[in-house]
Amino acid sequence: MSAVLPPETVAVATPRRRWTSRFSEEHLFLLLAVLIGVLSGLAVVCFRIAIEAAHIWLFGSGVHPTPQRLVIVPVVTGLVVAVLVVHLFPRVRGSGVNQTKAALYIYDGYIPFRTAIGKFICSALAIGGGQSLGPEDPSLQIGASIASLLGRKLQLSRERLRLIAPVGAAAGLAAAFNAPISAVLFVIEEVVGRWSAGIFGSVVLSAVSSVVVARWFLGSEPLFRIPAVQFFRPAELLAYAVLGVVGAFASVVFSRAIGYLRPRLKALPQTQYFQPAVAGLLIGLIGYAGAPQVMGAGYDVMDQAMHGHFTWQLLGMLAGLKILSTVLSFTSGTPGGMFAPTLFIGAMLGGAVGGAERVFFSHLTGSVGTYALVGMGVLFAGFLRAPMTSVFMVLEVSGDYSIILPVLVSNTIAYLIARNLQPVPIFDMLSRQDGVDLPSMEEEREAAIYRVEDAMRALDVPVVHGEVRVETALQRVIESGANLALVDDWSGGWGTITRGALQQAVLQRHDAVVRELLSLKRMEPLFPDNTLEVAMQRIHDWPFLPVVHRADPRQVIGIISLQDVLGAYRKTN
Amino acid sequence: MGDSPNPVATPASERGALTSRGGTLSVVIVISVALFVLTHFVNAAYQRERAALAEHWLKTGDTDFAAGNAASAVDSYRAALTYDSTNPDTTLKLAEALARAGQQRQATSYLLTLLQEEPGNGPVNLALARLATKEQDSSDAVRYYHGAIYGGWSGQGQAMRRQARLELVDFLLNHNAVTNARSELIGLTADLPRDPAVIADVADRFVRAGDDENALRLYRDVIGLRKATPAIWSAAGMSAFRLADYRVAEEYLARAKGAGDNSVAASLDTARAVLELDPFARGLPTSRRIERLRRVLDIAAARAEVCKPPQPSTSISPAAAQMVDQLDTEKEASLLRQQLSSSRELDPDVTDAVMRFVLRVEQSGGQCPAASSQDSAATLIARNRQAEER
Repeated sequence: MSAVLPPETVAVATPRRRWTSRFSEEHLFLLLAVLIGVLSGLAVVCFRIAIEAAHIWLFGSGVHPTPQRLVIVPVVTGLVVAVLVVHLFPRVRGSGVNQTKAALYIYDGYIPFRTAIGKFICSALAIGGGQSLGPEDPSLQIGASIASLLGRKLQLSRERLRLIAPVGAAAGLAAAFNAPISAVLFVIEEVVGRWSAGIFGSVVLSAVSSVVVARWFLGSEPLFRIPAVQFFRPAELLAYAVLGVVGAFASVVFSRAIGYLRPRLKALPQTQYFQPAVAGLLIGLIGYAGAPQVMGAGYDVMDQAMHGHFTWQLLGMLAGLKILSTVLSFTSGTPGGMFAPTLFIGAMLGGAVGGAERVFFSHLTGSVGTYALVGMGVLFAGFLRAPMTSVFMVLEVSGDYSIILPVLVSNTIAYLIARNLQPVPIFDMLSRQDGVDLPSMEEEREAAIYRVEDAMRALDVPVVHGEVRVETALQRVIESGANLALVDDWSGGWGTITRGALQQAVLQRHDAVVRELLSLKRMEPLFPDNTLEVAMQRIHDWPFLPVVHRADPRQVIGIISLQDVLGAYRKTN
Repeated sequence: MGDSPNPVATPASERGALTSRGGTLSVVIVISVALFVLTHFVNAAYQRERAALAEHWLKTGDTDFAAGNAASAVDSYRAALTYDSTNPDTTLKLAEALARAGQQRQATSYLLTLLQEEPGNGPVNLALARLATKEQDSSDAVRYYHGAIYGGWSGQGQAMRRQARLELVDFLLNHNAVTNARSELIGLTADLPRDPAVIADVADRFVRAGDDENALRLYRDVIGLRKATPAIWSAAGMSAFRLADYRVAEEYLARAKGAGDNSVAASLDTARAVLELDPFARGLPTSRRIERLRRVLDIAAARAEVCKPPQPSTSISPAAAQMVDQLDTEKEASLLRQQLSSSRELDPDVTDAVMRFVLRVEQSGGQCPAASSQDSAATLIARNRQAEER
């Protein structure tokens, strides 16, 4: 169209069109976030129905399946899932969190839609068939896959397309968890790794719309009923601290077991048809031997644990068996998530620790349910290594703020100990085992930040004001022995002037003031707490930049040059 | 919706992409609506299936519970809850089954969860109160009973509130909190239905709380409804008897003969004897009063005679000897008889002396044979006189 327009029309229309285009893209992205949320919500509703229907169909509707079914069903579904994974959906192995991260960082937001279909079918069969896995991570990947497809169909820019997978991931996770805050936090904390208005707004919109859809169909009830939370005495924080320590060790055992077994099983490609079935058989035998609670996602068992259905010894045993069965299921390559097993192990462990503590300290007021709830957060912090999400997740599912202190104490302890004992978080470990080096959000969070104050040097050039006559300025430069001066031009900012320029100005017009010699371009000063990255962005061709005081921007406390920045980086390496 | 490599938008293709976006977006919205409708039908069918399963397991649980098989009922109710987790009635039933199966802690936990959702839920409070009663936890029991009494009930609210209060009264009486029990009973009488069984129930608890006055009032209400059974007549008569209203007691107890209770017959005889012997009955001439007083004295003297221990041996202790002296009342009785005979007017001092004599004889009756109705009547007359004087 522009070809037929007169040049002046094009000159007017181009910036407008650009603005319109940018406007459209930004708003389209937000609208798309809502659509992604709706579609992800619908997919997760169907996914949950599929899992439950598969469970009822395979195990019967009662609470105690027959012993034959307990053993046979996981084996048969394991075989079917293996065939599907090997022949039709090879990308659906694992949880889905790393695949979403890979889409963001490697594949420009591309996740094949076939992955969503495969994840849906295989995970529903596996979880409904008793494998010790959860529906949350698959929901996350299904959401990301739907988002990626929509982004591609709408021909979004590369930047937007990259960001769209996390938007879908948040939608899927929020709908599966019925917890939008936790989902948003997890995606920001573990997938995206940074807070920016654009991504945050889209993630929130998609999470909220997916939860609205999920609640529309499935109701707003939580996945398990939370008993009345009891926390009366601050002294009891010690008891919760013990839970944090125990949870940290359990997290490390869980994580190391996966890290040990997964590559070894992966190295046996000829057995991939049988690995899920063997895992299913072992889990079925655990169920047959008297612990069917470890099969499936286990939300009903968490509900029972929180209502004191089990003794503390049984809770401890269930925690251990769940670690074993989840390790078997996950490392066998069966598609399914680790969120639900993590919560399960945390709940059982929390209940066990709380129950045991009450045996020895009968004055403790916290109910087993309260400890189980805190335990969920502990494992989330220790194993999944998402400390912020772990805190908000417990608050969101319990809806009770009074539990905040125990949660903060135990989660922090679990996180710190687990991080110390197992420096590589589980998702990073899995991606490295797969030969993909995705950015570690934890490492990024913990990375040292170098600031201007670490690289700046003392002021070794004279500072002259812009109103000073060039003669005076030259004299001060000569006295200081420097080749240039930093000019503080009150009206226009900071600049520099060389000794040569001053000498020449004196010869030409000795009554001129320094400001008249300055170029229009001025320096952007730095503050000591600015990062070196900011310094490098501002330094351009300047020989150095002044570092000024935040409370008094006219007070120069040092200068920094590109060499200083590089020197600082070199020193740290 | 097939897979395709990433078509990264380039500046050249941007305009074309923008123009096609509107159409694509429209298609996506239409697909979303279609999927929404499809999901609605799928979900509706699945929810119907869940509802049917929940109902099936609820019924199975009810059958198990009614058959006394609490453990099976627990499993069935759990299954029902799996398919209808928001149903508080199922949760309540599960808690009750758990409590019956001896799993108090779990039952309490489920009930507390329900209570958290609805603090004023009457049935939940009542169930918690019953658990607290079993656990002998007084403060929780009273708190939850009050929660049940003042909480919300769907249907049968009045009856269930009354039931809760009656259980609270029983709990208080079992823990000797008689004053509190009376307060609750008085609260209960405010809105009693015209149901004889209910009124009698409350009256019985007034008796247990030692409040015969209110008990008798309620028994009379039952009698007024013309629904009195021998048991009601008996209970009413006994209350009147304890209240020293022997005429009413005699009337009611006479009608309660069918109750088959020996104590009723004994009380009836005693009441009749009191009516016959009471020298303080209203409207009696002085001569009759003196005569009755003399009869009471004779009965007490005769009682003292049969209660007299054998002659003390030399080795008797000083305390026993003192008791024997006290029981040697023949002389005293004779003196009192003389005083009564010598006077045409009733001397209050002599009357008091006779009453003290009767009480002393009764109090020293450790080795006496069972008292006759006349003996008991004499004692009651003396006691009532003493109480009046106080």
